[in-house]
Amino acid sequence: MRAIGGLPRWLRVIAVCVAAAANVPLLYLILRGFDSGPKAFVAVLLSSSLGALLWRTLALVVGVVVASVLIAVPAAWLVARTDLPGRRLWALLAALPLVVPSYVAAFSLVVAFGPRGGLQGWLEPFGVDRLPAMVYGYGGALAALTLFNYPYLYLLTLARLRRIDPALEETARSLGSGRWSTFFRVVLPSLAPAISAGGLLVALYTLSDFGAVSIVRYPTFTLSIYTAYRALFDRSVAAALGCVLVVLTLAIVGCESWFRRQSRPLPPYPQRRASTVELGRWRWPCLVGMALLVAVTLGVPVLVVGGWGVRGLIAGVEAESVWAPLRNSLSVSVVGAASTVLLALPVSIWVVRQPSRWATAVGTLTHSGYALPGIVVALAIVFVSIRAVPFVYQTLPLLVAAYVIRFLPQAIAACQTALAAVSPRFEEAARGLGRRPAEVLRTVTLPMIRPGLVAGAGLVFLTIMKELPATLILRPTGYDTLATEIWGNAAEGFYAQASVPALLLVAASVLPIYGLVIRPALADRV
Amino acid sequence: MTTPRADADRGRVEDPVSIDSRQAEEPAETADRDLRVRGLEVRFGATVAVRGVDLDVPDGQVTALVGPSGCGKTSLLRAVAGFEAPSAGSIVIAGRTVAGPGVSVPPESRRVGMVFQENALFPTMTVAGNVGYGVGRGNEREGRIDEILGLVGLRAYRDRYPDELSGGEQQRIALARALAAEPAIVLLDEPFASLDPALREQVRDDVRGVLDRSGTTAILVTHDHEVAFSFADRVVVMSDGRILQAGTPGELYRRPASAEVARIIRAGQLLPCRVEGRLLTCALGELDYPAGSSREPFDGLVLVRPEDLLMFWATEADRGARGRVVRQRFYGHDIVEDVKMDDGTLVCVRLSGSAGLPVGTPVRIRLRAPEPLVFPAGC
Repeated sequence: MRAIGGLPRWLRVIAVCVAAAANVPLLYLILRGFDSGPKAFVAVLLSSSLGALLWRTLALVVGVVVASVLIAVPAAWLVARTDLPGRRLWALLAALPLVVPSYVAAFSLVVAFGPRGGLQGWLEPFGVDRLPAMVYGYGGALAALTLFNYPYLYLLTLARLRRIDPALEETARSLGSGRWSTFFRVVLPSLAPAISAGGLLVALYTLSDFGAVSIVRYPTFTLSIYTAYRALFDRSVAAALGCVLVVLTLAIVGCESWFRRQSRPLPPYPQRRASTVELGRWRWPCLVGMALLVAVTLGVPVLVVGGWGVRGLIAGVEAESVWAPLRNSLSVSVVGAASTVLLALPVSIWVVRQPSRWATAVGTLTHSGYALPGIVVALAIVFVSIRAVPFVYQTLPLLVAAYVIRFLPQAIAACQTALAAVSPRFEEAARGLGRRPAEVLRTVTLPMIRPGLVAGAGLVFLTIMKELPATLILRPTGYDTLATEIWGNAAEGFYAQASVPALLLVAASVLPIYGLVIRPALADRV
Repeated sequence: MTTPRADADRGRVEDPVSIDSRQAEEPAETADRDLRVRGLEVRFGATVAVRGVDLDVPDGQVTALVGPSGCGKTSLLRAVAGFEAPSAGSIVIAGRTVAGPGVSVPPESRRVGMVFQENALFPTMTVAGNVGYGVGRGNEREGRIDEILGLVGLRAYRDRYPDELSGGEQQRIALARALAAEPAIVLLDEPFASLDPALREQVRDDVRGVLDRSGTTAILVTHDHEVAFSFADRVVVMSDGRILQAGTPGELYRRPASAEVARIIRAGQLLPCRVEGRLLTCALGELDYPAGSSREPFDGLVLVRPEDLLMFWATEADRGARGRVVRQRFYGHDIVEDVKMDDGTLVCVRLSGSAGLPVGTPVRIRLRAPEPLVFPAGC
């Protein structure tokens, strides 16, 4: 089909520019990795520490994914398909750890279960004056990243579970298949796409996490890159490690898009609800399990951050020192979210309204931020800016640019969803009434997709509020945000000073995360 | 109403470029608001949706394009509106070539109003905002909105939002919005399909009334032959990207040009038959065929309209084809009965009134048509 110019030309020009700009840092990082001399690059790759680093990182990724599946799938099944008492409440509570950033999670685990933490305090009368250092290293990283990343898998599994037509299971049962056999032969295969998609998402987050591993001192790629960047005079080690990390994330993203291409579109919601499974004597063990999960994922952070936060507020010293970071966080997140959505619009409109090979290529290019861990984006931007535009180094515009590159894919997804919900007939009607494409965009399309854009911007805003590594590296000197305050104070052992901003951050994200992520995911259409 | 030309220019005063280009391009524009399509072809990749169509819609007339889904009628409409680019042929609207070799006028400069099945009223604007969208920012804007809303009889709904209107009202506002921009031609794409069946007839009459009062040239696309017949002055039957037949509803119904047209417009049942001279043999028995000649006998299909059939209680003494009532359907004003003939053919008979013959009755059927319509096989 030869489409007749339905879009203004400048829109495509902007889209191409955005896609190109989003890839400059990655390209530069790769060039730099090789440019520092193949010798240095190869030296890093051959060093014995790389093997250990790879092993530690992959062990963590695999551990977190497996543990998340083991928690998320039973939890989703319990709240969706059984007569577990209070299952609606459990369904919500099990999703809520989404509001706790990984570094706050790790921090609260350290405070609660550290060698001389809260648990030890309770056990002191019994003669326990020191717990083993189990929260540091692999164990702590595994716990923190599992307990606070599993909700992604949980929500995807739950949504898929709700769309399995009960008729399938009933047919299997009537054909003589038992309850367990039906679960493994009918239900689990239907859940497989959701589980693999969620598992890959969790793997991606684990691989790019910096906050939690830095607090529990488990050196994965991200932490090693940060250490190399801060400590060594020669930054080519950081660049080379960054390249390796990009290869790892690309492998995961590649798997994910392969899976997505394999998966068939979701079936529509079934007409009726699946019959509930009676737990019988398993009722109490299941209830205890859910309660334990919620106690650790919600109870511990709330007690730690709340307790120390209140203590800090009563002491009165914190309030003052928290205002500036709060202001900074809010303003940089607002600017970042608005810029990201604004720059995401041209690409989204092009891809949705005039799909073609070119549009797809540009759309794919803008997704590189998704594959790049924050620390790599930050590092690459540091290199580019020092080389090409030294005067913007450690300025706010550069920080905002990093946010845009990192979160462009998230904003594009929101824009595309909003656009796809608007029939092109509206735009055609407007053009038939004598308006040019640009006017149609302004007067018809934009007003109609505004709610979707606002929701998308809200999500990006929250993500930026929580973002740590890029903020840490690219912020202007002395420009503290809530995230950097929490991380800095937690690393120094200042519990109260870390808890007040953490309390603010979590409190600020509860309602938006609930409204934008959890409620739509839990919405029961039946 | 003011003259369309003057109004159209006023509506676009804010856009000097398009005025200039229009003056340069269309010295030959006539006062007629008509459409002329020649040799139009629309392709989507390897598939050809419209294959060399010629179509004329005279000023002030309403033409319906009817055909099964996928026959190319919507592609033809969208090519006229400017949303699809033809791969060959030309489109002339009101004397101005809008598509043809080297010419491709964008939709916003074609003076074509669209009314879609899903009505596409802008949900963010009031009724007045919607209707005024194509009017432009002159002094007469408000008056024009009122005038058009009066035309569709919904002046009181000025400040409502589209979601506060019923489906039929929404469709009338969509038409008002298209008319307010003074189009040379209005294109209606299945505008009644998403309406409640009970409402459909009323809205259809309302819309036709508005088109008549405003003297608008219009094309209606529909898959529903009843809508096409009751709405349009002329009906064009399409299939597989081609026009099979065009004519007034009466002409089409009385004399469909082929068995395919008869099937698309549901003119009646087609029974296999054999013609020998002036004698026609089919499941109903032997009939007179006055149009027959003494040439070679041939096989074909005879068109049998349910209302042309007479049904009698058959007695043992009757000769010729007989059948038995197998099903009875009440429609209130009439009854349709299915009769299974002795050779297995199923024939529908429509009886006016409320009394029919009960299921199982042996019957004889006679065709009342003085001149049965026969399509030779392979036609």
